[in-house]
Amino acid sequence: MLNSTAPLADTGLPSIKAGKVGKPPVQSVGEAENLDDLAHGQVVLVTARWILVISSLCFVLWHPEAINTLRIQIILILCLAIANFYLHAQVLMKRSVLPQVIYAASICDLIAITSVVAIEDSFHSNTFVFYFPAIMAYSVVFAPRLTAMFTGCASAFYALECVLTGSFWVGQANVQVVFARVLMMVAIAVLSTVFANIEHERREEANASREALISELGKRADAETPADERVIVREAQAERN
Amino acid sequence: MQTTRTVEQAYAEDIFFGQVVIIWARWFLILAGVVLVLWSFNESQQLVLALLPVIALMAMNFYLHGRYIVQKPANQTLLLVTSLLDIAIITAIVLLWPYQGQAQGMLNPLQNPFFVFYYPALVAVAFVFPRRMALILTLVALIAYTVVCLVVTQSQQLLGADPESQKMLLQRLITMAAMGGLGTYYWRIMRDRRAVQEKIRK
Repeated sequence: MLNSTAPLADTGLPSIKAGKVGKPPVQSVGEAENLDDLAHGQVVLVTARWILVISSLCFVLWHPEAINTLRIQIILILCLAIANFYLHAQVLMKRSVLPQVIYAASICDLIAITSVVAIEDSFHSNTFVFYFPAIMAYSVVFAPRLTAMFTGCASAFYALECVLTGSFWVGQANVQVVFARVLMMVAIAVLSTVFANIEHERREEANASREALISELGKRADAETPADERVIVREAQAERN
Repeated sequence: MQTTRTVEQAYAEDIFFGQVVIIWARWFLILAGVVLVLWSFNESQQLVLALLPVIALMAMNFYLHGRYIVQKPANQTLLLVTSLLDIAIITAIVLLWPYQGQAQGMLNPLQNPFFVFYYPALVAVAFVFPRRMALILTLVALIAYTVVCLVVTQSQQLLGADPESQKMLLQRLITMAAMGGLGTYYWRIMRDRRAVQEKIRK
């Protein structure tokens, strides 16, 4: 118990399934920590997605675009809302969710934002600002490698769709603007990952110092205990094992 | 067993460990600043003038990062001052930085694309400062950006006449607030997680 993180049953958080039912739960410490991070951070992802859904629904309905664009926007937003309702319900019912489902939901967020940006004349669309909360939410929850992959793809797709828009190559300043936007997207991912790592290290350090203290106390108690009592304790430990 | 850590100590620890996030956010701002200065200006005098505040910011961040590396990080007040300075610098960029499409001598902060610099600054502040302080700083940034957009005549006229511009401003403000809110929310989750861990071990 001492060298593991807090069990989720004690935290009141939903658990995350490590694999298919029936498979033995063989996990490395790193994997377990990642699943724990996912369980704790899932609510941040859900909240970020609600912000995306509610605000984009308001903006779509306020001064709407052309009918075809509007249809696509509403379909995307409603799909996101339904998916998020499902995920939020799982959190509220403290039911387990496959990590792949959480990853897929974040990919859907990025695809939805990228699609809306694309149909709103990419570079001139202001919807790109929704990338920032989405990136921040998954960066604090996912492992650094996944965060790098997701952010790399999102930045690359955004930059590409901006460049492929006709009105992009009007002047040099557009490249500067896209550079600034992409750099800030990367910055958000880096900062969130750095913070998540700091928190992870703090927990590890607290664990290590606690363990060191307990082992020191154990040694002292051992030295002060008479030899025959130590034999009895060892026998009891062996029996338990 | 009674806990000896007070709430103030927990805040101080969060600032001690977390301030590197604010430092990194500033490095990103500096990187963007250097690239944009070298890219934007064609006359040497203009370039030198624009580069001076970036160099000052760099010197400040070297000092803060150096202190962090030698385990003597800045205290909450100094960190608060530097964060406010970041917000002030970003607001000045939004107000004064030349951008494509800007008429000579005409300021229009609403159309200035460099408002994106607020986002990393806000997320860093939300991760490091206690909740109330983070919310105040987020509010300061939101108010600064709104005021800058409302005070300058060009933006004011645009906001009054064009619903798309109103929508754009609101979108930016909502996402900026979301960064502060989500960052603080995650910070709180992490604190609760540590508290639960400590409780279980005790």
